[in-house]
Amino acid sequence: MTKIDISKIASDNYLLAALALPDFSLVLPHLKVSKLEQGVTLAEQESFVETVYFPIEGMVSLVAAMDTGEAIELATAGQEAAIGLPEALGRRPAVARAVVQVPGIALSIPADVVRQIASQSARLRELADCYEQALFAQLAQTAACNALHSLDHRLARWLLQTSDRVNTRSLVLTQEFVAQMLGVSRTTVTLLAGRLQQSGIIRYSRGHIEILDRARLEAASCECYRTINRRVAETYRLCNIHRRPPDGAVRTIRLRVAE
Amino acid sequence: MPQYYFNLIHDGEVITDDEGTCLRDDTAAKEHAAQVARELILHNEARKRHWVVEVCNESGQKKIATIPLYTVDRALMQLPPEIRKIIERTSELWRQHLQVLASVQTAIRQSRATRARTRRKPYLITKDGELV
Repeated sequence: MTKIDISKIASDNYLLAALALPDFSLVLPHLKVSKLEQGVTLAEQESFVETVYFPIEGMVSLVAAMDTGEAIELATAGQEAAIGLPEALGRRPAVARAVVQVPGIALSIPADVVRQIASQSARLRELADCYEQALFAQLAQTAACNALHSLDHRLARWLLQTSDRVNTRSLVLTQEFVAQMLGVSRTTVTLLAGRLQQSGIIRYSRGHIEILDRARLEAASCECYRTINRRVAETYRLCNIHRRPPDGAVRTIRLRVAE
Repeated sequence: MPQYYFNLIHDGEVITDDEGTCLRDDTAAKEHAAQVARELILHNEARKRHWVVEVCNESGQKKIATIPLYTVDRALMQLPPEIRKIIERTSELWRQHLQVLASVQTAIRQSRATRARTRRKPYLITKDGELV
């Protein structure tokens, strides 16, 4: 794939889009397109990060893995994320396991390369801090939600978060997977999803969940869905990261001219 | 290993799990049902005490166990036995009440449909996407 293609899709990642042109041109030559395939582990908890991923499409779950093999979801990551960036800059081991949940693509860069670039780019370091702060806000809220809220609320929150990240109403997910993320048995998820289906909020079949009535799904969720969104948006706003970068298209054209 | 099916009775409606789960024997199936019941009721005891999880055998026909959610309600454990009994009894009655209410609603809809048909007027009622 040519550089122009990469610079085009790069603006779909909020953090890459928030880099000014001089900083972005340092990163651009090293970015590679990586396919995100469902179930693949991008980072392992307590291991050093080798590659940093900027998701463009799809969704990644950050999970806490237990010795028994069980894993519960701590946070979800999509276009607003840079998986492993704070750890790569600080030479620290990954804080959680990152597993691809909804397939898509990401732009990847080796950890040592991005660390070198960060030594010349204050903005990149600032963005890494900002992402870390947003992630921390999400982890804190999710931990409280997992401990205090009932499963039907958590299921609704999870479905909303997932559909936000993939920009679609129809999710390709098995109930086993949903159950694993919520840390409960598959039967429980099926029965509660059946209840949401009975009220006409979702429709599901094997490996496929469709959201029919988003407003009612939001009403069925706990406050955590809105709280997490608000906290992440506020953190990003303070750091001048915009959900839809207004100058994305302009920058692509400029780059093309520069080349 | 035999296949078991788990149903949920909530607010007068039944939700069936068509996929089923392979488990060692009836004891394991009952244990799984109790686990499901605990997961369902956690942090929402007051609203779900009257729900019931049923375990059915391979054919999906024969019920081998019924687990009312109040039996796994940890909030009730510390109450004096007589008060617990009252809450359990109330939960039972509430469930029966909701079930009767649901069947009355269905009956009313069916009779409306019948009346409309006798007058040769179109009348369609569905429940959970299926024609009643």
